[in-house]
Amino acid sequence: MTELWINKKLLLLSYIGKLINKIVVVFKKGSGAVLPGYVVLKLAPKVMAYLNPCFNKGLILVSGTNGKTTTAKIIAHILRDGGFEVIHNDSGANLLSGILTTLLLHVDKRGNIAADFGVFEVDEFVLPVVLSYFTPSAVLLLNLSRDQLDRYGEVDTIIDRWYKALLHTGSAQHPVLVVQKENQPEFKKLLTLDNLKVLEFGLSKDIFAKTNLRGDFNSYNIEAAVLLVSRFGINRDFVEKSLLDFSAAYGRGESVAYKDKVFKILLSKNPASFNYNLGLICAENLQQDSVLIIFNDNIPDGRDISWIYDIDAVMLHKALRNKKVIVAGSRCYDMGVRLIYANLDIHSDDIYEKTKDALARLVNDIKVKNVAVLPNYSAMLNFRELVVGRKIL
Amino acid sequence: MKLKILYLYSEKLNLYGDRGNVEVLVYRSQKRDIETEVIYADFESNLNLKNVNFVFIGGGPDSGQKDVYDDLFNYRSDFLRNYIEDGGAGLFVCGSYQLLGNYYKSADGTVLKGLGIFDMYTEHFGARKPRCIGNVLCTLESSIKDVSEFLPGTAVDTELVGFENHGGRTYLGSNVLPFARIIMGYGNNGEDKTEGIVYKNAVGTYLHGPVLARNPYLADYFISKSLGIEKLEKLEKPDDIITALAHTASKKLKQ
Repeated sequence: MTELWINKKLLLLSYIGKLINKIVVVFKKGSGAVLPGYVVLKLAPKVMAYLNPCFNKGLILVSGTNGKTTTAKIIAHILRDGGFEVIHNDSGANLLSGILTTLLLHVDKRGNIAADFGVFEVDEFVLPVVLSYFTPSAVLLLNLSRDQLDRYGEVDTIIDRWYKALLHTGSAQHPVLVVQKENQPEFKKLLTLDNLKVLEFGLSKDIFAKTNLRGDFNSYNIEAAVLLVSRFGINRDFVEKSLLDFSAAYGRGESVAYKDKVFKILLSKNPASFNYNLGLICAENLQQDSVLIIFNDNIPDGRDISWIYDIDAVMLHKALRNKKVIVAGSRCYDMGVRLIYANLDIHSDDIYEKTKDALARLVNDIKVKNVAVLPNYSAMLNFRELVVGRKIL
Repeated sequence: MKLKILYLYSEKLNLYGDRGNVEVLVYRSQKRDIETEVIYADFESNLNLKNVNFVFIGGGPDSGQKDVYDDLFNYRSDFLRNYIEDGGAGLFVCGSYQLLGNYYKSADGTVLKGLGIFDMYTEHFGARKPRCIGNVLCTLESSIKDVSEFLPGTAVDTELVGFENHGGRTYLGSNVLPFARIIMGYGNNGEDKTEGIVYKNAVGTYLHGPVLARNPYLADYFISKSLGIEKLEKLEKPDDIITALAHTASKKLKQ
C-alpha cells in the first residue's frame, strides 16, 4: 500500500472511530474508550500494523499488575507540564482496543498521528502484542503479582512472554527498560536482556510526601516515573514541582462527596492492592467509620475469586473490626463468607447483591460520614457511575 | 481432641488461595471448641508428625511444582503413603492431586513419575486440547454421601461448587471412585464427567474456590473424618446463613 492510501484508509477508520466515540458518549453509554477500537479492529484486523504513530520524543509503555493507571498519569502530567504534547490513554483502557481507540481519536486531517510523546498503560498480557507493532523508547514494568489467573495463566507465564517480546524489541535507539529493584525477584530474568538499557528504581519518599497521594505503593510509582522521565532530560526538582497539584486517577484513592457523605474509592482488584488498601485504612488519621466492599466476577475482574483468601486475614480483621462493613456485588456472598472466616461479624442484612441498594443503606444511615470503598474493577466503574455520574474519568 | 493439620508446601504450592482451606477447617473447628494445630512444612525435617489427622497440599505454578517434586519423593512419600493407606484424612488440590497419581505426561511427551498413591494418571495435550478453566458444579460421589448422618438436623447439600484451572487432564483407574460427578465443567478430563478422586479418606480434586470455603458441608465432613466424630455439632446460625447463601448463589453461575 502506498503511504497516501494508508493515510486515507486511516482517516476513514478514524472517522468511524470518532463517530462511535461520540455516539457512546452522547447516549451516556460509557466513555467511548474501548468500542471504537474494538469495532475498527473487526473492520480492519491489520490496522495496528500500518498505524505508524510518530512520537518524535518517544513512546513510553507502562505495564505491571498494580499502578499502571496512576503511573502513566503521573508521567503524562509531568511531560505536559514540561510543555510537551502527549497522547495518553487516560481512560485506563489498556487492551488493544483501548490503545487503538486513543490513537484513532488523535488521527489528524491528513491521516497522521503525531505528538511529542505517547504514554500508554498496557495490560500485562497484551504488552508483547503491542511490542510487536511498536518500538518504544522506554518500557516501565512496575511489578507483577497474582491477578486474574484464569485469564493470564501464571506469573511465570507473563515474565516469559515479556522476556521473549523484549528480546526482539530494539533499534538503534536502545530502548530503556525500567524495573523495580526491590521486592520483585521474578524480574531477575529481565535484567539479563542486553539489547535494552535496564534501569532499576527503588523506594524514596521525599517527593511522594509532598503530593496528595496516599499509600506507600505510590512512592514506588513516583520513583519509577522520576527515573523514566530523567531519560528524557527531566530532573527530580521539576518532577517535584509538577506533582504538587497532581490528583489520583479515577477510582484510585479519589474522594467523592455524595449526598452528605464522603466516599474514598480504593481500587482493590488483587491481593496486593487489597492488602495495601487495608493498610491505608488502618493507618488513616481521618477515620473512616464504614467500609463498603464491592466484589464482582465480570470478565475484567477475573472470574476465579479464590484470590480473596490470599488477602491477609489478620489485616482484614484489624482494618475492619471497628467499622460498619457492608458488602455488595455479584459475588457479595462469597466475600461475606471470606470476611466471616477472617473472624469478622457479618450479617446477611449487610450484604446486598445490588450496589445501589448498598449505597442507599449507607446514605440513609446518619451515623455514616466517611466511607472507604474497596471495589474490584467493574465494581469500581459501577460505583463511580452511581456517585459521580460516569464510570470513567 | 485436637485437629492436627499438616499443611505441606504452603509457600511453594499456594497460588489459588488454597491456604483458605486450612483457614476454614481451623475456624469451623474452633467454633465447636475443638483445639487445632497447624504444622506448616515446606522443606523442613524433624517435624513432629505424631497424631496428625489431616493433611493438606495445594496447587501451584509449574516452577513451584518442580522444587516440590524432589522433596516429595525423597522425604515425604513414605509418610504420605502410610498415612493415606491407614485411612488418614486429607485433601490434595490440583498440582498435588496430580503428583499423588501414577504419572504425569507433559505435552512434549516427558513422563514424570507420581507417588502412585492415587490410581490415576494425568496427561497434558498442549495446544491440542483447551485448558480446563471455569466454574464447576458437581455432585458428591455416593460413597461419601453415606456419612451424611454426621450433621444431624441439617439437610445435606451434596452439590459442590468451585472453580477449575488446569492444563493436565486426569484419567482414573478402573477400580477407583471419583470424588464427584460433573454437572457443569470439565472435571478430571472433560470426557467422562468425573471430578477428582476419593481413595480411603483422602480426596484429590481440581476444585479451587477454595473448595472448603465454597462448600461448608465438605469442610465439616473432613473435620468429622479427621477426628472420628460420628456426630458433629451444627455451627451457630448467623455464620452458616451466609455460607448457605453463597453456596446457593454459586449453583447459578455460568461456566
